[in-house]
Amino acid sequence: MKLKALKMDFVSSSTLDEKGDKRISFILSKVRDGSIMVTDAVLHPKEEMDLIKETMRRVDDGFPGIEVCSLKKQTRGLQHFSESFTDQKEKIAEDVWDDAKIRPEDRHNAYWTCEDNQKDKEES
Amino acid sequence: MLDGFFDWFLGLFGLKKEIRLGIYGSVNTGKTTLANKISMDWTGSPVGKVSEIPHETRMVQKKEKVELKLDKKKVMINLLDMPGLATKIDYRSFLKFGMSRKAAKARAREATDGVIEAIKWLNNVDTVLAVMDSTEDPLTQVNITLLGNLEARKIPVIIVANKIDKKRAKPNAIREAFPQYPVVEISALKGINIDNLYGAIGKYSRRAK
Repeated sequence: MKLKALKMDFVSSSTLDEKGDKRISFILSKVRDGSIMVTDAVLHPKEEMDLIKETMRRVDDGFPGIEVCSLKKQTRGLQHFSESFTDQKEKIAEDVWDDAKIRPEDRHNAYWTCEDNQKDKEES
Repeated sequence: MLDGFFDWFLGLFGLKKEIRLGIYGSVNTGKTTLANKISMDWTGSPVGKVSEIPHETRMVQKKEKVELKLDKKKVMINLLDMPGLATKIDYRSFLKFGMSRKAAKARAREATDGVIEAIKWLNNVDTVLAVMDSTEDPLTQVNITLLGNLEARKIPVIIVANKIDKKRAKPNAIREAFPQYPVVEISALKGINIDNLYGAIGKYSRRAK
């Protein structure tokens, strides 16, 4: 099976700030373009709600919406922060596999391959 | 007589006795089951229909003048059962419940409108019950965004850790994820600990301005 390529756009907070009132539209245009957008910018909680609202306005047959993973300060230290990020990252990964129509058994192999590669690196 | 005087007195300062209590949360956390439980307990009639199919509630459902008689006081609430919040609504997810493609697309369209309506209502609620499913990871973007918004708007919130009757329930995970908020563990379906929730509503609710 031929895997679809994943496109990631790294956008700096200054670039996003330059967009002013158009920040939400800019983010959504990137996502609708098929990119996973990564940014170090922080959205205000009201902006996050606006992002959800604007996403809902744009949902159609070909665009079901977005997945968001925010790294926030946690009150229980770095370990909890790391755990919550890993949980969210895995959820998003599952959705990416779904969208790319990759069978669950192939996903399992892909995960194990990654882990095996990591183990190999550590052992060497 | 005294109640009438109290209403008149509060009215002088722009205060009302009724609290607009919004029930918010992700899809399928048991919001309508909870709204029905509260409404049945105090009025004898339900608020809305419950279904295992996501986005059953696609419009705000209201039950006005629900009077809670607590230990030392009475609290009058207008109950607002909100559509479930989501960042993604894919009509294809409804097909597995046996819906036709046309019906699934219509449901998805209504569901997106419902999310927008629920967000708009954040400007018109006095207290929020943030309902979370105790069997699921509470650190979702919807929960984080909802609580962040309520904090920014200074709206009192009670986190309701629902579905504690399920074996997989881990209400402590909710307490640990959001230690700065009051958390009440309940099963809306079985009515477990529901009196604790009524006590919390009386304790944390803010009067409408």
